[in-house]
Amino acid sequence: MPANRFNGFTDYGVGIGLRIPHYQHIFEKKPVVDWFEIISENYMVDGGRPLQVLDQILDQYRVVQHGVSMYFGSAQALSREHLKRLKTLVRRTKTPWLSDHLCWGSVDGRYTHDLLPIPYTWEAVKVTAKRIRQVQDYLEIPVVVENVSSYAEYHESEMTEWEFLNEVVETADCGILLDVNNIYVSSQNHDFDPLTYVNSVPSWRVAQIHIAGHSKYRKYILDTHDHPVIDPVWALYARAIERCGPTATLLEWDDNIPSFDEVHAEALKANRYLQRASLPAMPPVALDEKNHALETR
Amino acid sequence: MTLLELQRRMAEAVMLPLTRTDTMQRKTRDGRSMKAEAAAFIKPNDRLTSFERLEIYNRQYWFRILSAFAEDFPGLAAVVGPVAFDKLMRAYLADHPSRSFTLRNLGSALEAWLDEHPEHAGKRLELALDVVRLEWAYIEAFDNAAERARFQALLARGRA
Repeated sequence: MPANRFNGFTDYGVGIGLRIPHYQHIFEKKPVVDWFEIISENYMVDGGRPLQVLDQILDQYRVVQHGVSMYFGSAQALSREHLKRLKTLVRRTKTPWLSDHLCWGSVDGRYTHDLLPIPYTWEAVKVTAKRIRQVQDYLEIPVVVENVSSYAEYHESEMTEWEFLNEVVETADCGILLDVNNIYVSSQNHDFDPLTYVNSVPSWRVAQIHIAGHSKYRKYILDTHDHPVIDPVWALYARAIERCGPTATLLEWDDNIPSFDEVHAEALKANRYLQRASLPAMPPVALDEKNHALETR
Repeated sequence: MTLLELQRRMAEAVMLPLTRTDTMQRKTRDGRSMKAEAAAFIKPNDRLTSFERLEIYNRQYWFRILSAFAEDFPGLAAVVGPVAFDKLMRAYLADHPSRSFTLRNLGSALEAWLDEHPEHAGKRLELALDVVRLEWAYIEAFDNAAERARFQALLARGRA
């Protein structure tokens, strides 16, 4: 299950997000990290310091690109300039797959810089799937889409979020970046069972999983990526791994960022579940032999 | 409501400037009730009204762009002072919402805008404009290959 056509048939383990406060530690200590996830937009530039840093990282680590402004769900056409810059970066990083969010965020040339929820309508399924196919065709690498945290629901929606996700990925024939923290946050904000969501996702399309922390307020939860992962989110992660098999996993920590070692240690907790899923299942014949041995003892 | 119509209405509300106390305005730009506008496309739940759910996105939008802008122009903030700088940021960003996929370009029109709105610079307009030029040049130099080449050319000219 882990290596599939949606993650370029790779077998990545636990990674963390590459963040500026950790640059010095990484360059000086050269810690062992399976892979780094970069925010594509931070490196879609013409030169200078960002690309110098990226090249240094690429010399020593595997990198996967994650975007925040493709806005697959925007009603209007994709930006050609954006796509051109993204393709230049894809060639530089040789990312085996590329992820961005199942959301919208710009209209009439104005950008909100937010991951706004898409209304779960059949019109939106068609528009979103078409954009994903366009990006996939242009970039010539697998594109996977991530479910977002949301704080509002629309009257216009005609299906649940997980039904919408399933319809989009089937229509676009793309992979999924399953963010189990986002599922948890949205489930609390919109009163649904997060396990129903995790159990409904087509497991064979999951290319990567995100885990993260969040902030709880009196009436809602915000996806702030500034805390350790809480137990209910680990439970969703465990179920996702049970269904999908050991899958490339990434811890997001974007605010109040602690030391590199602290972030990495939090990410590596995922290994508890990944290693369990990696254990070879006992073949039926061996099981029969064991039962027989017990019976004849 | 089509997808495009819904996105236009939501973006209009999300990008509407906040009140002085950083809450969502009670009226839309054309004077309608924001409560009714939110209720037209956002579902309430048992804890939050449609208005309150939309307000979360309105506040997030402004906090995000104000924070990114402030990070880019600390010198200008020091020249005009924190209260005037806060007013300046909100007025400028209301006139110039982001038109780029990256927050890095937020201040691209600041020099021309400040020149046209000198009241936001207080008594030191020339100094404020100089600082804006310097801070924008720093942003450009940080990730612009062409600026690096120009710097190297200047260096070579200096050595010759």
